[in-house]
Amino acid sequence: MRSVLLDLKDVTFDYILENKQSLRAVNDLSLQVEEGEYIALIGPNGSGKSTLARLLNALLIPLFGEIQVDGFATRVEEHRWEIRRRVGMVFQNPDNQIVATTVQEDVAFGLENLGVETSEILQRITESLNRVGLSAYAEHAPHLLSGGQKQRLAIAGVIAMRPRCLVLDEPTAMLDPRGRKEVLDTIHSMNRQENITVVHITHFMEEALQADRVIVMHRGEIAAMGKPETIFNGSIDLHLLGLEVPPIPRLAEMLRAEGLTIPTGILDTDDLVSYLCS
Amino acid sequence: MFIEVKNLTHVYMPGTPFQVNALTDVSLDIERGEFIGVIGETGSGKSTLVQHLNGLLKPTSGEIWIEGNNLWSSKTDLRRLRSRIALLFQYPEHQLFEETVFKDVAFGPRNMGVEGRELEERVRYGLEWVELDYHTYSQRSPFSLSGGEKRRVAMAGILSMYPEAIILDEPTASMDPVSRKHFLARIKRLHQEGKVTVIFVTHNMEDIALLAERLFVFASGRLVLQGQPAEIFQSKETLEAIGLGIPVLTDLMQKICRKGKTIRTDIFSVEDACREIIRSRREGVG
Repeated sequence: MRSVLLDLKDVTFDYILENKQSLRAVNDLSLQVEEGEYIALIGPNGSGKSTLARLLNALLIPLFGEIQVDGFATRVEEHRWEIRRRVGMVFQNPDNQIVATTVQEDVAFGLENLGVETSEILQRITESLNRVGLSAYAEHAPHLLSGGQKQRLAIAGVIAMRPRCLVLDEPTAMLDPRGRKEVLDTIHSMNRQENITVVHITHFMEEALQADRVIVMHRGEIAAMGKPETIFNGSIDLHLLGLEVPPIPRLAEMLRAEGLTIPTGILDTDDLVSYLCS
Repeated sequence: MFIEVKNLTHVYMPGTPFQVNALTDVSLDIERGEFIGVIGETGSGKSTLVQHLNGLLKPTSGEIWIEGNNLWSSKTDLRRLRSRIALLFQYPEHQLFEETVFKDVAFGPRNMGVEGRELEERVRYGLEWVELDYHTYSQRSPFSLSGGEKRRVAMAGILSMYPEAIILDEPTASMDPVSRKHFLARIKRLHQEGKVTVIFVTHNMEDIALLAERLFVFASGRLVLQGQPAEIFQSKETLEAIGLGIPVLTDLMQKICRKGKTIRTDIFSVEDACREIIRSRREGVG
């Protein structure tokens, strides 16, 4: 059995607005994420996804309830470094996450802050850039990289700290198709080859199709949760939740309604082609 | 012809070590009332191109003609041009700055000398298009709004100038699926009922395939393909080589076709795909 890495119990979080009113962003939410799982977190704007992400590495602390990361409670101040070493964050805008003048220095930044020794830092830079496919760019200036390369650099900077979990908040929203593919391939290979737990927030429903588990957020709560085949098979009214079913499962559903024999749970183009051409 | 781009070349920071040839010898025409899609990977020159269309950037060489007049001739009123051909930047919510929604939406027309009742009418018009109620919103601070509402206020600020053309640079980035759908439906209505020319820059192949009448495809600062979406998206290999792709349903239909089925491949919506698959099966049997 896999162990639980992220454990959320009855978590509530409010933002305090200018007029002193409070806005509930996460409401009494409980969730367990196992080590090595790939979670896609979807939901409309304002549903609490990004707040949840920030709660996971103690950037925000719950108003009520408790979050434990690998046994460390986020509420306890002395635990926060341990938590942030385990949970690395990658945000939407690649330009806001770059701090240094060369690619390798950018990767080194977090490690230097952790007080890692120089020889160890150099080794981890090489290793991390290798893993995201940027070795050839070690000496380059980050601002000359493409969007996809910048996001992969952000990921390299995070994985250099050897986290157990990556939390990515719309990492592909600003990228072109090639950049998106590069970043998605990188995240999936981290998950498969290194067993790094992934919490991936996205508005691209196609990206959620690749996850082990999809969590649908709505008004600060989990509205639905399950394997992609279940979430996107038409049994849940995603439109009502501000979302949509991606084209391939939607088409499969429509063809089934027309009387074609297509099994449920088809998510992939090639699978649908082979059923239609058999 | 409404907009003509003739042999446009744009070089950023010429004569320095940082010189970048952003656009090289681009020529294209846009007719009044068209819905144009502009696609290409990051850095391919899309944004540089559209900033030339309303005179925000000056060509290094080449010319921009608007309705038969050279844009950079002395008689062009650039301020007036920018209200006729209006540009909505990416993340426009960061560009709101006034104390009230009314003032923000009124900023453009007020700059054009519009005042009083007409000004109010234009603000109403802009807010109506983006479906924000005038009474509820006009006196609120733009900063108290949600991200989606702010973006709509920015759009209303463009529409209150009664533009003949609007240029949208990736307007739907990080909108959730339903907000995106609503926004696209509003743009479509603006094009069809408002008769506004639309120039839409995007990374989303699915959306643009359904919306645009004609596509311009950019790679490394050059215009490499132009035509209707149905033609453009037949060239999967070419598009993938320049970092783009084709809509997932077009890809599906092309794969079915390659397996020897007689089936149309210029398909962009789930409804059309369903209809065509059913039709192809019936004919295959009969």
